[in-house]
Amino acid sequence: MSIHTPRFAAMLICVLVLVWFIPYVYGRATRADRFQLSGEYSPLTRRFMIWEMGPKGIRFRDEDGRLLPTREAQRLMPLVFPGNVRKWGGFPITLDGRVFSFEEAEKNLRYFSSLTPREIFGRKFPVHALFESVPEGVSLELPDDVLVVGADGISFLRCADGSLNGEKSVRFTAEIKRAGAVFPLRLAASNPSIYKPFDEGLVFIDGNGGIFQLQMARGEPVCRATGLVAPRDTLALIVEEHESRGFYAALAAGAGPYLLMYGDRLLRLPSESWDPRVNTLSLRSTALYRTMIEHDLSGVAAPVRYAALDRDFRPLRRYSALLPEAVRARSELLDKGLSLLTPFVLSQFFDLRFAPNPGFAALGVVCALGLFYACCRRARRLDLAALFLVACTGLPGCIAALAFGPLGRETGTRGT
Amino acid sequence: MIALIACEGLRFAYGGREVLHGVSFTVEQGGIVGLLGKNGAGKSTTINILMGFLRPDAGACSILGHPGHAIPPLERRRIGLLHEGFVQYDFMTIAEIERYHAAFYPAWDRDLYYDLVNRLVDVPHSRKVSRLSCGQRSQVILGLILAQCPELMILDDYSMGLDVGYRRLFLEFLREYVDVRGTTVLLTSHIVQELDSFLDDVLIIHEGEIIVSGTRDSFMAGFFGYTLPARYEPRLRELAPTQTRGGPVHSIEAGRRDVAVYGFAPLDAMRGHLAGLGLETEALDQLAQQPLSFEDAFIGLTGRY
Amino acid sequence: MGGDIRSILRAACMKEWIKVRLLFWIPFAALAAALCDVSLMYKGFVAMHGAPALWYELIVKQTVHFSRLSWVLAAAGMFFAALQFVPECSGRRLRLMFHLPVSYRVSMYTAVGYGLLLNLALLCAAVGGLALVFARMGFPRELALPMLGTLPPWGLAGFASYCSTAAVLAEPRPARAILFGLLGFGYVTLLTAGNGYSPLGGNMWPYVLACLLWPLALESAALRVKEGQR
Repeated sequence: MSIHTPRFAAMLICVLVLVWFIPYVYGRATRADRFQLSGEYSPLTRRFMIWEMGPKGIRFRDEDGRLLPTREAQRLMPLVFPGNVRKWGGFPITLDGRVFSFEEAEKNLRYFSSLTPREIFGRKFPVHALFESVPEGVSLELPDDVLVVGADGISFLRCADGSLNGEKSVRFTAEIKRAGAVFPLRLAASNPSIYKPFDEGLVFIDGNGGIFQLQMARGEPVCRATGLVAPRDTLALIVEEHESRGFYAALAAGAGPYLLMYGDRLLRLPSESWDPRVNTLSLRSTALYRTMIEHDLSGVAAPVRYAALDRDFRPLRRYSALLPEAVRARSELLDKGLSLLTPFVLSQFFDLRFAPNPGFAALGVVCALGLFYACCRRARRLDLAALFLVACTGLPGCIAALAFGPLGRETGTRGT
Repeated sequence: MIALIACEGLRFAYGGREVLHGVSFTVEQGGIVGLLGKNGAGKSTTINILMGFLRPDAGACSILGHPGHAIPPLERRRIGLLHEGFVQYDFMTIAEIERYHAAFYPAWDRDLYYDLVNRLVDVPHSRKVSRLSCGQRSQVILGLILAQCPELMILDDYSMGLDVGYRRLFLEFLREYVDVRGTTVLLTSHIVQELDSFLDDVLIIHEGEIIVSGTRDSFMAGFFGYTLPARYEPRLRELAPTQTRGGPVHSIEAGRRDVAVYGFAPLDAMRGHLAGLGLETEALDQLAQQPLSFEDAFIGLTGRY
Repeated sequence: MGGDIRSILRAACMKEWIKVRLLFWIPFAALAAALCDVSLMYKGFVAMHGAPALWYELIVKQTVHFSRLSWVLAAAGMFFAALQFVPECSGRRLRLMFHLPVSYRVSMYTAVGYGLLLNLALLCAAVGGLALVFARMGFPRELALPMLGTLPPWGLAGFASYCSTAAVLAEPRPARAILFGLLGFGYVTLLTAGNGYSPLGGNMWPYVLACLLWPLALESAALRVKEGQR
């Protein structure tokens, strides 16, 4: 018996669509309430306050798992919730021997945008903004041109018509080379938002791995070598300007996350389990401490890791928390359900994976085989080739086989 | 004689309702064979199975020695097929459709096609086939089939949509073609009135079974029709409640003034059979044989309704 | 004198041309209209907010202002399939293809090849037209190329849409025909979803291979007519 190739193609199409569609619909139909953990190091208790953020708002727990009333919890984090604490008469407050007013607390609260796999591995264009770092007014303005990084220099293109500003391009390229940078550049980044207090220009890693900074001051190029060498496996550069002027860029490398500090220091963040493909890292800074939080996107069973850092980014305390048992249990139950329905999951970008629960996936395949066998028996025809497809692909294969079968071609029917 | 078509025990059901109950027949080489039957008798179903467009539930059929569903492409050059309803690529013009089909047949006879097509009055070759009348379209499509110079022609319901003039034209052309080239033709129709002088062999299908198979002459020589006054109809039905296919009394048809009795027995044998059943002498005396045309015989065989 | 493969192929191509010659230009006209719309939209944006604002929106947000083209390409696939396969499949005409004295694959894949060429031509016109729009706006190559890279998956969606529509028309059983339509819709959704420019990156090959299954699926639908399957 031979295989009916055209029908096999139709079945494969059906399977491909179903292994995308079933998880998609299942996810929407069973979408668990969004639940996320965050947290903050309390300068008063010197322990972490865990934030459980769900559809009903934020709940606060301490490291022992004790649920705290919102007012009590927020009072323990006065530098993060200055507005509420002020309302409750909490300011001025003395922390670690320093007195903080409400204004000081508010001014120094900063949240660094997360380092996420999408930001690290997402497509980046060699087109950047180079603001006038010394504007006439108090706010930054969108420049009239964009900076394009080329193989042997940079070019400025006018937004009005895309024409090359040759003079400016030559001038700025010469300044970069004068600073010692070697083309082609490995990475470059800037922060193209005008909603920032000031501008740190373009940060880039040259061909030799050196880190440089290029700014435009009153129309003139200013390029300096930081003297730092980027890790060999640097994957991404992200520039962010903060009034606190602690750091102005982050590097995501394979070996770990780094901050580019003012004073030309490259600081490796004390991450214990860094994997840029599955980790997100966020950093919240207050006047006294910084809280670094790492989420592992690979599964709900993975812990959320907290690290409290001092002003010099030295770790003071670490903690890891799991999602609440109920949340994990529901997620695992949903995984089992999905695995029962399909042993494969296809996501949008042709990322084909096995179902999260192999045991239930196998059970699903057995159920699909039983269903297929019952249907074949009813039709008094057992299609062994399709049975094999069902054994490999479970319910999607069963649906495909019943819709487009039989797959086995009877001998002598190959008339063309 | 070589059997170009052979069907054995064909059974087919549409959604649980069996329409072919073991159809068996052969078509020998040469001549025109008519597969005749009323609407819904199973003619087109048989042809579709023959050409592989339907899969029988049981039985087998072969055409030119190949199973119907597995005729090799080159063998199909030898078969000219008219699909029921004169289905063709009627989005093409008369000229385009000829040019298209000519590419597939090495023995294509272009002159033959245009000989037939040029008989269409005031129809330019640039006219689309879809814009022709039924009769005109049938001429074009017949021309396509004849131009292939096939060994075997299968014409499924050649008469659909044609008036008597076009039907006659179609058959005359066909007859001439067959006589000259020796092509074998199997045609189906439910309109039999013109077929009398055209058919060599007949296969009459009724309610999914072949009830007559043989030459047209032998059929006409062995099938008879009789009349009795209408008042004897109840008595006849009482004596012969079930008619036997192929038997002396094949069917009884009630008319306004007469009741007709059809069967495979000549007059004396019919009288004897009816007497044996108990029909009164008075009635027997009034039993009169009627001359049957081919159409009369067909109606007698298959019934009026 | 016919019967050789060249004559047959020429005849098959002639048939496809006859089917599409009157109306094939409609998707191209729709594409031209969509490109004009994109161009006018960019011009309007520049007039309202200035060129730098537009450029930075493109660079930072990667806003796809030309998403309408995805609908044009997908709908064009359906249109081309209807042009070719409605005359081919309606009124049981599909049986004609199976009675020709040549493998049915010659006719069928000539038709599919024709459709593929039409879809490809439309995609090329879309890429070329959009490139012209970008050139007129002065977008740099470093930005324009990734933006243009958004179109090939949409072109694949057009091809999938073409084949699935053809399969719907060829399939004799209504339930299975509906399923073909739904599968085509699934493919189009997969290929046109995504954020930003060139969402599939350089990793188009799995999608191309997945789309190459469609002509075979169309063949399976047509074969149900030939094999007498119900």
